[in-house]
Amino acid sequence: MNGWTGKVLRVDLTNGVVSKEDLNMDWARDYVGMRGLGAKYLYEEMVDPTVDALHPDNVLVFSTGPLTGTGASASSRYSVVTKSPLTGGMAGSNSGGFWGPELKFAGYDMVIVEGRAPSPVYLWIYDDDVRLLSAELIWGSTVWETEELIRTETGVPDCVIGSIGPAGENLVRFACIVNDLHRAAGRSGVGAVMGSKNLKAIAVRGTGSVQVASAEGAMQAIGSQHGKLTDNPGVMGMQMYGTLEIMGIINETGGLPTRNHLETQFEGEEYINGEALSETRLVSNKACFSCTIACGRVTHLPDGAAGKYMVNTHPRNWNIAAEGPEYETAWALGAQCGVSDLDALIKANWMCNDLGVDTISMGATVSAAMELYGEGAISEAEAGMEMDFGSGEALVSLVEKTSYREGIGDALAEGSKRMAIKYGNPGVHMGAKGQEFPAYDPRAYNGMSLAYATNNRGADHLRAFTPAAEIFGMPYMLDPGSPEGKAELVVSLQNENSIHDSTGLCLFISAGNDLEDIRQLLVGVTGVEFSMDDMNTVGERVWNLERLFNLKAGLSGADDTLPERILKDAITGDNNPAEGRVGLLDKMLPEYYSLRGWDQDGAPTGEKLEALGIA
Amino acid sequence: MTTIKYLGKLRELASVAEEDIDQPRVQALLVELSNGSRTELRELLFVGGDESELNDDVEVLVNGRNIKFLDGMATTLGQEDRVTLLYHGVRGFPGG
Repeated sequence: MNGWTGKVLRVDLTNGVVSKEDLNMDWARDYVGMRGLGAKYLYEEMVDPTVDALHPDNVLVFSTGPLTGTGASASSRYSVVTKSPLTGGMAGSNSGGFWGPELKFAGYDMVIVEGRAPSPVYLWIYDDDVRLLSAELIWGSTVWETEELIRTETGVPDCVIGSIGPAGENLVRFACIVNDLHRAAGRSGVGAVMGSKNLKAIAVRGTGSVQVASAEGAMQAIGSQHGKLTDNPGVMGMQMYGTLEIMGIINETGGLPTRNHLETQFEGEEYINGEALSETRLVSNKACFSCTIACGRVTHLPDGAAGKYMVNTHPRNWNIAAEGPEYETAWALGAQCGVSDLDALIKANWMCNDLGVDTISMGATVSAAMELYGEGAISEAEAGMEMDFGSGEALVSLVEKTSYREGIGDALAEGSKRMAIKYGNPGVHMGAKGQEFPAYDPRAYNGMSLAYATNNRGADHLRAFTPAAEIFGMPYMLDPGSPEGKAELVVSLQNENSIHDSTGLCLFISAGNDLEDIRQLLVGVTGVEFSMDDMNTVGERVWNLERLFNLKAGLSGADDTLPERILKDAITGDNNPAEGRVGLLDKMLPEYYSLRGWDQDGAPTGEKLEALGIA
Repeated sequence: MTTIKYLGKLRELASVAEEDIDQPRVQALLVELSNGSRTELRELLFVGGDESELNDDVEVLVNGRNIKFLDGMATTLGQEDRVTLLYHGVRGFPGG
């Protein structure tokens, strides 16, 4: 077996049984790995997709790709696929760090978790030794505490741990799964599903390796991939400023959502952007497994009197330093909440990692709560604090209250859509399919209107990123305010990212690598002669399968929509280059369905499913 | 005066975040701002020292609009205009 280990761990939590089985290689060839293969297993094994996401019958799949754990650059990724408690559709969230490679080294491609444990447990994997252990003494601990406790209990200091924090235990609908202290399968509430199963963590130690089909072929492809990333301006920028480098240009082009999308340029951007972080709080950049980009940010907060927001982590974890923020986080906790105090959002970021919540949905939900507070729907008495836009103190407090569902935090823990309905103003929810928007206003870059609305996992930027075309002309130039050409671009990007997300590679290698580079890596490592047509077909197949799951779960074309603020309220602002733009979704959606080969209600036709080999 | 805002690596090379320069077109502006001791900045902005050819990896925005949508290097500038310069690490992939 090359690339894939060929083995799957199946964990029946209800009965406390762990078994090993062969990977379905027919599915592996058709869906490759990670997101795609995880989606296939979920689709086939979740008998009733309409069941509540937090019910024991939901299935939680941890899935690596054939390139995970190889020498390819940025081959650190694994996906978590399940039904989302936030959207009601398929959740697919991936993470880097070292957990995915370690699972491969232990000899497994996937872990499939079923049922619900009668009491808290964690899964221990040390090569062939796989057991469920009691987590009753760990339950209630934060992510950072959990990693220490498990290493101490097992006596294996170099095991790699993915766990949930209090947010996952408390079923916060946007709770995440965190590995390596700071890397998260962040979006769609996968941590809440893990919490609903009474599964605190999966700790892994593996001493094996990933076999490749041809050492020469694999090394040739890896060498070529590395070469294209070395001295690449995109990579150098990521090393210097992390993903935060993009904040300045997004603000300049009028697309930086500010104060819950009431504005799209943030006057405090200069205080929270990549340049500010590098000049004042950056300790070092940091890489995931086998990554030559190293976009991670290790940051510190001031000690002593200046340390208003100081956090003492465990000495092992650099004491007063931790990781983040990257761009989406700095935006969500910063501009979106009107907060320009960099220390406040660094602390809030660290707390999100430690307590286990998605930084994007957290910031966006705080932002919606701040708007509700401003209009009087949430009173100061109910909030227990002043909760105005711009308050770093409120931001930090709300991260904690949400994670523990304390006071007003119980409402935020439901996500901004449910919270907005509870307080009588659904219009303050800024998202799609119940998941909060990331850091690009879809009016400023109209491609994102379509990308958000049609995304299988709800609003998200990682499945089709159109500002690259609309600002920089990558892969070709499109007018950001126009609907022209957007449907074709979005379909193409969604398909391409679907195969990319199924390989084990991080999306950020796109700075220097294209799909042909990825194909060569797959061929060299697995020995399967994937053609470019195969790659494109896999991507389209994955996208359609996810869509089919969503339809069976009860979603429909009616869910491919956006908030009225986006569709009707034009962007305003003196000298804002995006002034006057609205989301032109109705001008793009019919063409999108047509290009997809779907009917006018957004359902894949029988012909399309047959062509893609989806039963 | 036109206000120039430097982002990322170009800010390091220019040693300032913003400055004001008065020139009628983008090309003349880029030539002036990279004059004198700003050798590294000049080498990064132009291809092989040719001051008419902008490096593919450099983006120039005038009032938030890429000059590729305008008149390229011939784009005219006014007193109130704002020019943003970026040597990009960010164009082809999302922000993370």
